[in-house]
Amino acid sequence: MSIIATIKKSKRGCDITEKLTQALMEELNCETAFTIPIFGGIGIGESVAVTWIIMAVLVLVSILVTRNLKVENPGKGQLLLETAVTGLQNMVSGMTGEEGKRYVPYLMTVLLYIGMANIFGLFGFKPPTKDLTVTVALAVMSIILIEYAGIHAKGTKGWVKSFAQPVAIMTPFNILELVIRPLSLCMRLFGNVLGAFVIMELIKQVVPAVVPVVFSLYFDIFDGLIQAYVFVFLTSLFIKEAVEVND
Amino acid sequence: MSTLIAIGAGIAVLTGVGAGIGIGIATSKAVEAIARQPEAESKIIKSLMLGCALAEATAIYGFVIALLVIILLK
Amino acid sequence: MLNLSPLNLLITVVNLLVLLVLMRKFLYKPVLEIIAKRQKLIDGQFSQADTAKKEAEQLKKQYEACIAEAEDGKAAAVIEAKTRAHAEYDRIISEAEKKAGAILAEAKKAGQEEKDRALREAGGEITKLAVAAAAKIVADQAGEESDHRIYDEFLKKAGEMSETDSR
Repeated sequence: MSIIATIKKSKRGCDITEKLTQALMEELNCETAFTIPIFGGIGIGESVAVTWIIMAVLVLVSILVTRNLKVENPGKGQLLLETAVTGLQNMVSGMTGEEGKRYVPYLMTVLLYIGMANIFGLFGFKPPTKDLTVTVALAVMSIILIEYAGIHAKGTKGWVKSFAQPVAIMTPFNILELVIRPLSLCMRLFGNVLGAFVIMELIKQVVPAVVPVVFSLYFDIFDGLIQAYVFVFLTSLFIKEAVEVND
Repeated sequence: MSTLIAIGAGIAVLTGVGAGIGIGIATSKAVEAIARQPEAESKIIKSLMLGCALAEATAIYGFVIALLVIILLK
Repeated sequence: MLNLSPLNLLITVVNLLVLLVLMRKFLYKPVLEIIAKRQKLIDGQFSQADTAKKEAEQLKKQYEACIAEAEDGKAAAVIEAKTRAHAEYDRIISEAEKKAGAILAEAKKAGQEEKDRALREAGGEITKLAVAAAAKIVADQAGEESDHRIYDEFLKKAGEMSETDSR
């Protein structure tokens, strides 16, 4: 809120610019959606609320599509669903490799979540991935999963030793990677979605009709799905690297 | 002050140059590869998409830094 | 946009874990289970088809063996029939020959009898003639000349007789 105030203060000069900035900042700001009145009030961020909606939609849709599954003579819808699920699974497990198969469900979930979150911009929601909180959470979970995979595959000793590979002098860089990897993951996703969002908002401010649709096809659907894919791809790449036992 | 901030943000956004060059080179190589081996098109396109997304990240970093500069230094 | 609240971060992490559990329960598990079941079914059908094929092949072999046996039987039957036909032929021929021989012998015998009978008849006639000649001689009481004439007559008649007989 203070940011908007300062911008408002400093941008007293141009009228149109001020309006645009104000509208943009309003859209960009992640408000507290509501407050749960326990423990002295828990402020639930907008992104968390949208995440809940996404979760509800995903669960409802999966319950709906898996309602009438048949072993024999599957319908067209079921075939499509099976192809989609197995295709997703094959894609992710192809990226993690044979040893990292146990992490496939998590990666698939993340892929679905980020993809849905980025597409949700189409329906008038603010995509939760635009909120740094969500991308930081995703990145933190990713790095925890990567290191857990390393420990699981190599044992604690092997995991500690793997920091000194391929040569001992690389140790500080390897430790730095613990921070750099999630930071880059988080910032890539956040920056992409935010950039797309800013551009979309600017276009909406200038031309309110027709034109935003075309651009939203690219920014919301194509770019959103690509970023979801890249996030999962990089995570699974790191997992693959972590579980590789190289003696 | 605000002029300086604007200049700083502009310089940060210059990272986009690198991303543009990188994506251009990647795409030209991909086109060559497809021309040489049209049957491997899907694989090449996949790698290209990934490379582009990764190269784009530098531009995105610049954009984020520019935003940070504008918002935090105001 | 850039403010990080640790509480919301925690909630997001919990959200993701809950989503993972829910998706596992409601999407991955049912679909993968169905696919596994179908795979099982298909495998079962394949093995069934395999056994059916094997059975069919066995049946075919049996069939072929049957047909080969039948062919053998047919050939044997043909050969048997031929030999039987041969035997019959031989039997018929020999019978016919025998019959022919018997007929011939009978015919010969009949001829012989006829001849004998004719000879006997001729003998009877000669006797008659001799008696008639004797009667004539006695009746005529003639001399040497008439004797000669009678002889000649007799011989002539006898000669004619034998000629007709041998015919």
